[in-house]
Amino acid sequence: MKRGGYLVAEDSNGRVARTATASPAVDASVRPRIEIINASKRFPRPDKSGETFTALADVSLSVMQGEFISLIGASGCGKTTLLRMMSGLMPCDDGEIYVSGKPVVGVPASIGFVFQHPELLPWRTVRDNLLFALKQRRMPRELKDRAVAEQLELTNLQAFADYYPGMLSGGMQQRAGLARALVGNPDVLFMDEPLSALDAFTRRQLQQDIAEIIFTTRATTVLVTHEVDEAIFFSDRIVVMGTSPGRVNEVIDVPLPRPRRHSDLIGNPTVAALRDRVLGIVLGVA
Amino acid sequence: MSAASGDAGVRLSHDPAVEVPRSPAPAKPSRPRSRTFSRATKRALPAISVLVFLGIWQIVGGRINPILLATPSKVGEAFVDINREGLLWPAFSRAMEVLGAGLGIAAVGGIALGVLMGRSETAYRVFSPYVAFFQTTPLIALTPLVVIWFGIGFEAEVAVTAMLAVWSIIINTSEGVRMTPDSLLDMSRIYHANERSVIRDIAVPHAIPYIFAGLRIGLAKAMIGVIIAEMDVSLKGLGGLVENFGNSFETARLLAAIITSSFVGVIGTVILEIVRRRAAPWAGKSRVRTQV
Repeated sequence: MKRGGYLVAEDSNGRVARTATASPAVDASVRPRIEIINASKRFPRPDKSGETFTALADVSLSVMQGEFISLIGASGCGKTTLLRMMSGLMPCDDGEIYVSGKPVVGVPASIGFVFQHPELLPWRTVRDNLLFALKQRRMPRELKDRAVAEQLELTNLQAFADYYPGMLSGGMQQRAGLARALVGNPDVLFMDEPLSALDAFTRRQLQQDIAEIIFTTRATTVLVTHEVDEAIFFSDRIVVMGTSPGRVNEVIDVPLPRPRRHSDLIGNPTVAALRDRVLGIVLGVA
Repeated sequence: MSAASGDAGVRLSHDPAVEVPRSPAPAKPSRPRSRTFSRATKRALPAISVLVFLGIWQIVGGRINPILLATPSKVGEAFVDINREGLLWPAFSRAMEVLGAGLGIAAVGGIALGVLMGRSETAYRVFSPYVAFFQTTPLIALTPLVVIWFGIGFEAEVAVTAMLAVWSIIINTSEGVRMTPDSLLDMSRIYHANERSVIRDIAVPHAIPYIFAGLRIGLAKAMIGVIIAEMDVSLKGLGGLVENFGNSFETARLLAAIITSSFVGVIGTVILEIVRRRAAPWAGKSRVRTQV
């Protein structure tokens, strides 16, 4: 593919060789779903000086199966870069990332991704947009159709299966984006500020729906967000990131049962304390 | 457009399964009422304009030498005459055939090369010098060469037509494909789409508005090709009529032939528009889209 030419051959060979020797020693059942080991990313400066700036420095993080973690931080902390590296859209310069025990070289086999904007194909109906996610899977057409129908039901989109995305509101479009991400029953779900373009009421409603859907599927989920409340609402753990260079400042546990409802969190002292703590780190006063 | 929007809104709001309601279709902005014209008059304005123009032409044309300018009534008579003489219909249908074949070949070749140039940086760099060169060259000057290659028949006219039309189609197609948003390409990578799927499912549908813009420009150039080729190459068809009537100073018949050739172009445009609506049924509906 034209724009996919970043896969460095010697790099991938090196990594494959290393996991081949390392993996038998590790019990797959206890191995984290996602492992990030000393990952770094540098970008060339736009002024063509030939210098680079470090978007992410030496990040290490593990995410267990079924866990929901949020990456939060000010813009420029590299949270989206980290998400793109985990999902294989972007290679890391140093360090290693493993998803389901395999080194990330290109996009891993079984992941879903919800983008900031829904990124549905405007020329396909909602149903066909979901089918696109299964297009490269080797399975009979009937099974694909059934998986799509089930996913549409789970995300409450049955009535809109034959609508073009342009006929749906932003919230419904993003719901379709989530349905497409989940239809392949992915091991890992990545979400990049999926609700940031929605109004507050739609967002709260969709947060609850998404929390329930993801809880049902038990997919391991990584969410990038800049909303502290959203991070607390969804996460088992919140990864608070800092800037220049982008790094992990602190990882905070959210000791509340999932899935949550907004009404249950009103006036909850744990939530209030967590919010203060996360904000304190983000603002650099803690 | 407003009908489509109302339709979608009604269907959505009546569905009980909806939790996230679609924001209501924006109310039709009430236009300030014009004081000069009523609505009916406004609708009739284009027709009135044409009638007034024809009237002035009739009066002015009646006072000058008919070789310099024929009146609309004379042009109308000329239409009837050349039709009765059996000259009009064969010329018209021949022009349609040359246009269809020439533009069709240009479309197939142009879209294929445009997609290749849009997806492959190498192909883009290899072919863009030629596209830039031929796009700006007055290719009609190559007509004698085309005659040497293809003779003076139908094939030569089709070749001239295609040669004029193809470049805008290539440029617009490749531009539309290259403009495919990176975010959609990222999405295609997440689901492991291969190059064939990226082209078929993403790049070409995205480029369709560009492709049809290229086809419309190509159609205009193709019409020049059709008439010039017939005038220069075969002396048949509409171009042949234009050439012959012009040479014999039959101004009314000349104008009748020219007007017929614009009909050919208009019919081509209408057909393109019909094809465009069929090829991109989502394009009209997407304008109903609510913000966010």
